[in-house]
Amino acid sequence: MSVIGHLVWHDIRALRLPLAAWLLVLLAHAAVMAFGPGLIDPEARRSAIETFAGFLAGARLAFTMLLTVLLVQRDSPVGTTAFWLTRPIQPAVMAASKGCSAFLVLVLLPAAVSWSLVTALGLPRADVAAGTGWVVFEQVMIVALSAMGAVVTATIPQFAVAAVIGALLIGVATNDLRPMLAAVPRIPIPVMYANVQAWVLVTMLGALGVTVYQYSRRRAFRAGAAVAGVLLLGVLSALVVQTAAAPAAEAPLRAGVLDPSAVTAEVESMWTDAGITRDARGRNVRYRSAGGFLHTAGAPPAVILQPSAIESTWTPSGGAPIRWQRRNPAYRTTVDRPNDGSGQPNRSIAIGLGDVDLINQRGSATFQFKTTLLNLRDEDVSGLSAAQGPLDATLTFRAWRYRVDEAAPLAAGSTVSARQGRLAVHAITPTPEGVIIDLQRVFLERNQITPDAGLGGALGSSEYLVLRNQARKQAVLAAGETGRRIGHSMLEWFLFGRLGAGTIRLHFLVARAQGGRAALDEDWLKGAELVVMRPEDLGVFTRPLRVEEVNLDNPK
Amino acid sequence: MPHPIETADLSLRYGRTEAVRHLTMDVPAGSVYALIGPNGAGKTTTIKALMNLLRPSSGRASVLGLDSRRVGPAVLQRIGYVSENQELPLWMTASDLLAYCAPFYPSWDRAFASALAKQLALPMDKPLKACSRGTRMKAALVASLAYHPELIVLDEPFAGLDALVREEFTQGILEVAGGDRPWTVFISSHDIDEVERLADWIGVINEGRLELAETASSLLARFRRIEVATGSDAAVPSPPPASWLLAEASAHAVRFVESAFSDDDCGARVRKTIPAARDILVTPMSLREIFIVLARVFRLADSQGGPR
Repeated sequence: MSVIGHLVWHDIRALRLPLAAWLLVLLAHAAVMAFGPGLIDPEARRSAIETFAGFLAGARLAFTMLLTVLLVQRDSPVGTTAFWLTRPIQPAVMAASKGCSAFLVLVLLPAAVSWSLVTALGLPRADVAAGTGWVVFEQVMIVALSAMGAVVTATIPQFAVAAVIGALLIGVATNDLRPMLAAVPRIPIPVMYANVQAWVLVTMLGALGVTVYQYSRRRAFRAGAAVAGVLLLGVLSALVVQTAAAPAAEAPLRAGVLDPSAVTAEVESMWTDAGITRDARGRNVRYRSAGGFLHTAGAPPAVILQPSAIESTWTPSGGAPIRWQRRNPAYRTTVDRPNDGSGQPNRSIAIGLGDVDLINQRGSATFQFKTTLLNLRDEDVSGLSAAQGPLDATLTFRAWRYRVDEAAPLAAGSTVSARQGRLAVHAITPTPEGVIIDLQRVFLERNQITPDAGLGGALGSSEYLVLRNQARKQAVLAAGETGRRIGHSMLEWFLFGRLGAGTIRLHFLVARAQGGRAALDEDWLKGAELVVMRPEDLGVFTRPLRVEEVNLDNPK
Repeated sequence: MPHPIETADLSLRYGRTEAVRHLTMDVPAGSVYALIGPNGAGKTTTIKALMNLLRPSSGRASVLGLDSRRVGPAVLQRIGYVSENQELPLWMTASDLLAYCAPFYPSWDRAFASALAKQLALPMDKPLKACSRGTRMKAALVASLAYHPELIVLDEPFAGLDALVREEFTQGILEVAGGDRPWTVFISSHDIDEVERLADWIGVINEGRLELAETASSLLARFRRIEVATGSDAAVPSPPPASWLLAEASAHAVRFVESAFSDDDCGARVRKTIPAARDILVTPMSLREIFIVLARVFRLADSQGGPR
């Protein structure tokens, strides 16, 4: 056995009791994830199992920190009394053995438990990999930060004090540095999608550097100063990095979908607005804007047209033309207008389901797109003699339609993959108003901006859950849902998403006014499927738009 | 052959406190060298500098021919180190401790370790945290001797040990030091009785300074307690000879410690300094007595700020 292996083995032996407790916490958390949803009433305010799951998540965090500190401090590089210091052990070998021990028990072990769990729960393969990756990431991050504190302290109380000081330092630095850096140019880093990524990267590299330095040089005071420097640098990096949002995919319009030249667009219900907003550096900026609800015609009924970008030229009377443009993902505002909308998305969904009769159409909202035409700084408008004039714009439309993503027979145990996760039918309860379906789910919710979210974000949900009876050519949209969830990740806000399990109760209601058209009786349900409808991107195209008068003189 | 331990003008500061001051010392190969001094004299700090646990502020030190600042795994394979301050892995048994240490030393001698453990009556299967301090020190000693180090460094090894354990511990050291291998033992202690049994070289350190360093036999030979009876009122000559320490006079006697005793001319020298001398009583001194005298002399000199 190599010296590193020898040291790792003794680390594990030395910490066998806390490690047993750690394993117990991991298994308990996994068990709660697996079996907890069955114990939760989806409509209850909060259940004991959720509280217990929260406690276990906290215990995982505490154990990860504590075990890291125990691992490091049992062969501490601080002081002159540690046994290993007078034995023929290379500092690099000791540091490597600590790294291996920590990786083995604090990263690999929870990753293996999580992987086994989410695989057994039926999460899709890509989500299993991503979810396990997140667990690895958060464990590595906590271990690295804890190790950085542990190598400059000799005891657990000292570490606790250092941890509190570190947390305060990050908080104070974040608040105090932000205004000071308002005028500093941002550093664009294309691969970063969130400032916190910069913080994580810098802090973790710094933690590694401090740990290696302290093991090789054993200068606790200097290393402590370096820890403070790393924490400040991490905050600074998060504040000065210009992140790049993931652009939505902009494939050209698919052939045969529609004739772009037949599409017309006009603005209904113009509005103007004025107010104060914050720019990218957090400074207050006064603005005036104009917009309206966009009405389009000329597309097939299955296709939904969503404006995704606009380039406007506004010509105020007596002034020079002013150009303005906005692109995805900022330009995605929508509004529900059930009574005077375009009839979408119901038409698209009905066609996507195979030309079925959507028997609860009135229960679902239809929509139009609320379109901003112009948004200018107040200082650019207030100098004009008359802030009125025509506007010519080029609108970019994204065309999409609903399609069946997955369908499964409506029966206990059936599963489908939806945005909420992998859903397993648990109970089907017919009621006089409709059907209630209880689902148990295991999920990996991503909060990043994705092309799919770009579509769906405009609609409130990019996906519909539907009960369909193919033989009767009828379908019902889920009219509402309630649910409870159990978190598996410790630092969800760091990971831009959530990994967990939970319940969902879906309500498939048939409005009483249409009670004569269909009854979701036993026969209907026997031949029914649970269907997931998702948008299918058909590509983008541009169309001109003319607005005769945009008046920014007295915005409301 | 270079000395296993050499220091030249070695100094070490903690902030404003100078714990070791310009220490120059050579530890001869094959010797049992005891560095003795009161608490806080700088013994442990010196040893930590030698073991590269602390960095010297100035001067230099070498251990087994290598600059102490470069003492690393290669040299540590040749050094056995036991210290009262050392944090042992208390969750282990003595058997675990030996198994833990063995792979770090190519020269680990399992049979020798077993023999030492048996000789020291070391319980092998009891967790060290449940053992007495003496047992822990014995376990540390076995773990530091089992690979036949050329140099054994013992920092206050007797502190807090009872008489029996102290005896066993000392026996263990004496046996290896008296064996057929060229062991050098460097021991720091303020337990003078044990040191007297072990050491053949003595260094006395006080307030970070090495006050004297010589063989134990020479030290014991040159120190004598002397009482001079006089017929009339006795008085300490002014100034007294430099070799007289703690000289004092009572009604009819002068008492002092002679630090340069010689059988040949002691009487003549005393009579020359004190012509009224009638009887001269010369008493040999133990190392403990010598140390106490020296400690008092140092304290006196420090309080007066004068030379020693």
